[in-house]
Amino acid sequence: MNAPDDLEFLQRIDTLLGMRRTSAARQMIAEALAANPDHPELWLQAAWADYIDGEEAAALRGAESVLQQAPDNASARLLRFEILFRRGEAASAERVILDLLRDDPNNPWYFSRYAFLLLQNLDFGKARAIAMAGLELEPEHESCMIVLTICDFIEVGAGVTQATLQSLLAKNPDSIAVLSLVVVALEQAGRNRQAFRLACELVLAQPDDPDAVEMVQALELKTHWSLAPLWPVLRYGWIASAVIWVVATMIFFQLSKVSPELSLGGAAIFGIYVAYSWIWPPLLARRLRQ
Amino acid sequence: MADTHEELLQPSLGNAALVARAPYSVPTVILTGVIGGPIAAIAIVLLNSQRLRRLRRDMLPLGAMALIAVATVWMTIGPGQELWFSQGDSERLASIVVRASGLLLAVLGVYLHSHQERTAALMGLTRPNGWLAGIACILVGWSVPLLGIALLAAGLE
Repeated sequence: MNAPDDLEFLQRIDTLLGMRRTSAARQMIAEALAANPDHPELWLQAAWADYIDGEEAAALRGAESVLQQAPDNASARLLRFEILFRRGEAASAERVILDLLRDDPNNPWYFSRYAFLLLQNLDFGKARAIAMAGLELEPEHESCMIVLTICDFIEVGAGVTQATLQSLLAKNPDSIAVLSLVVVALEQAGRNRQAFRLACELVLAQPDDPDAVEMVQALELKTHWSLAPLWPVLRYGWIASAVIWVVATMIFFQLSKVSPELSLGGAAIFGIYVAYSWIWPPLLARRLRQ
Repeated sequence: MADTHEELLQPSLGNAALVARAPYSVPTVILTGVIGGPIAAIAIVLLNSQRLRRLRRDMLPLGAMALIAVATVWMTIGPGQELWFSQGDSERLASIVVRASGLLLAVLGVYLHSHQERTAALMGLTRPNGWLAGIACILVGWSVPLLGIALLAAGLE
């Protein structure tokens, strides 16, 4: 068995955690902990594994326990931030990340995480400024560029950000985060089939990622042939649905003056269409999940 | 570097009263507008402005939307009804105009908060339950015009 002080051994666990292969990482951690039960770095990696598996309470306990022994441990503080971020405790998360930034003001990763926290709290103006500050430190920092691209999405829309996305993808062709962003961009632009194909690639690359699996399921539903008649609603959402209702009502109202029979027939067909739009998509989603 | 970004790195999420919260979802806004009419649409957009902490910024567009709402009420159930609709189809057509106006204002409200709406969608933020707010706004949308007309009629007498 490898010694946990062997940097390469710890890095291998980090790589597994980065790929969300937590069961393999946990196995390595457990074997190393059996020989070195007090090794703080291993306990911290176990806490990160808990965090990735969604066991936030256990992850927080692990992080706090490491911080009791080493209050300045940056990875444990970052884990604490991530847990608070995920729980939506914005003020506490902000305090932790700002402390980290004060201690290490040249770390663009902290800038990008703070920018994401600001985005989650709808402050995209400051999020953009923070991401720009991160890019001043490292001009091609992937995560900061992702924040900027998201800000472009928000402020300008999917069409204008295509060039940014292409350059981001060219610089980071294997990045899962960038690919996920491209999937979202394609979906926002209404290019669901391309988004679905790319999302399938994502799942192949990260089969344990529940977000990627969920994304594929949602896109598979949107691109299913039996939902083709619902294209306007799938493309433009509830606004299209409301417009269809109002326009149909106006047409049937005017038609009823000219030909009441035709208006009644049209209304019946429209009623069938509405019933299909309400009943079939949830049934299909359930079938696809199985 | 720390000095350069000192201002940027000041906490801004500490005061919960100033931190924006996820807006009511687009379906909630649209359905409220279509079912409750223009006043209900303005009410739900107003609630979203409050949640997004931009009420003061939205005052001008909300004022313009209120003018459209008042015009709709005036021409559908108010004194303008006789000018705009013939006797035969007045009720049904007025109902369609009220819904179309509610939809228009709801769409304008969604557009007004489109940046925040897109952020909430991209970040997967949890939306507030729209049922209570939606129903309350619909009730406001139904009752305010009738109340206004009743007060106007009482004033004329």
